[in-house]
Amino acid sequence: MHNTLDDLLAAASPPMSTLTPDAEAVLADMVAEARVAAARERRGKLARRVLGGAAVVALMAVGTAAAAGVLQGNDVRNGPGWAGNPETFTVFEWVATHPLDQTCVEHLAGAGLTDAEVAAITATLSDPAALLAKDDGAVREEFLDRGWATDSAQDTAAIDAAYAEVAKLDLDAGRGTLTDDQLTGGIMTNRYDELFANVYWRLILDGIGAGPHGYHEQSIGMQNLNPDTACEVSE
Amino acid sequence: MSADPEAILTANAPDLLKYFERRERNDAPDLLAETLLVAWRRAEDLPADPIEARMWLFVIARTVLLGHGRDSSRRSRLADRLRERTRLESTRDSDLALDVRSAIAELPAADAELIRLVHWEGMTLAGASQVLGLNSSTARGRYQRARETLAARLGHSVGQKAQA
Repeated sequence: MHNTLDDLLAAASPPMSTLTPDAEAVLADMVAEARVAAARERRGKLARRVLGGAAVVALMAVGTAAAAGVLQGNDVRNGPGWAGNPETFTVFEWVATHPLDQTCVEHLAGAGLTDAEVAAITATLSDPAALLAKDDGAVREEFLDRGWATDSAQDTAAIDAAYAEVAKLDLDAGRGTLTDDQLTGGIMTNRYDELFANVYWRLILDGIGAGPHGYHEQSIGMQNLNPDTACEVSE
Repeated sequence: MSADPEAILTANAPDLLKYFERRERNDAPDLLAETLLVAWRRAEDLPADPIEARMWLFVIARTVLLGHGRDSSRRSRLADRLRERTRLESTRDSDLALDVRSAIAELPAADAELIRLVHWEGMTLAGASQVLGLNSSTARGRYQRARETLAARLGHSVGQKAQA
């Protein structure tokens, strides 16, 4: 029985779902997932801004960075997106082998990093064993806990491959002899490769303190670090 | 004092889900996922005041709802999991409830949404006007007119509910 118009209007609300207890956990996961996705988008925007127009360029190492895989300056690439920007860019580069035996150059590009941040990132990437020891399986655990990976043999192999590839990271060698002409810029050919890449980059980003956890405590330069992968053209 | 986006989003997520369920039942989890993404993109704009933050989120939710259908290809895996973990209440709509919803739907769109936000989402009239982008005096006039129309159609006396 509805005595007032207010009661009548309220009672006309369509039937609602009830949330099971674990639905509340899923909601919390959705909030966290959206945060990671937004951060990834922000990094992608920076990449498009600084890398636009620089598809085929020669690398010119300038600045004071010592490691072969670390390039600094506002003209580390000679495309218009770099040369016209007053910010100082830093690019960390190294080679990795992806699950489908693709040889890829991993780029980690940042703008406005302090010298101390560049030095810290360089030191971390130069010691992958320490990076992995610090992780101690945390990324693997998070991917499994959140349902981003299953404990299937295929997913386990992809995660294992990512950990193993991080262990081989050789920043000093940089991109070696690979030129942009040899790179397609594309990976992620299947779910296995995508999982590999996601785990790989989470290990790197978490290791250098630029991962999604604690995002708001990071400097703008660290928040805007952009991971990118360009792979060798397959025959 | 800056807002804590994670805490505010988590606290409001259930109500945002209900908001979408009342309007687009099948796609509610996806609409929620999109709203959360937009909110994180704009986290720097999140008001520190919890009430203001809640209204800010509903403004985003409404915008997402209005743009619904433009990109239905993006599906969130977590949204699918959420779909599996919600149970529709077994209560059936009465004929009266259907009549009332029908009467609301016949109002001008903004008036109908004012009624829904106040009576279904539990917002104040000021909050509802903020979500709809109306100034408060316009909203008050529309709300009063909408109530009178509904009361006439449904045969009830007009009482006062929402406080500005």
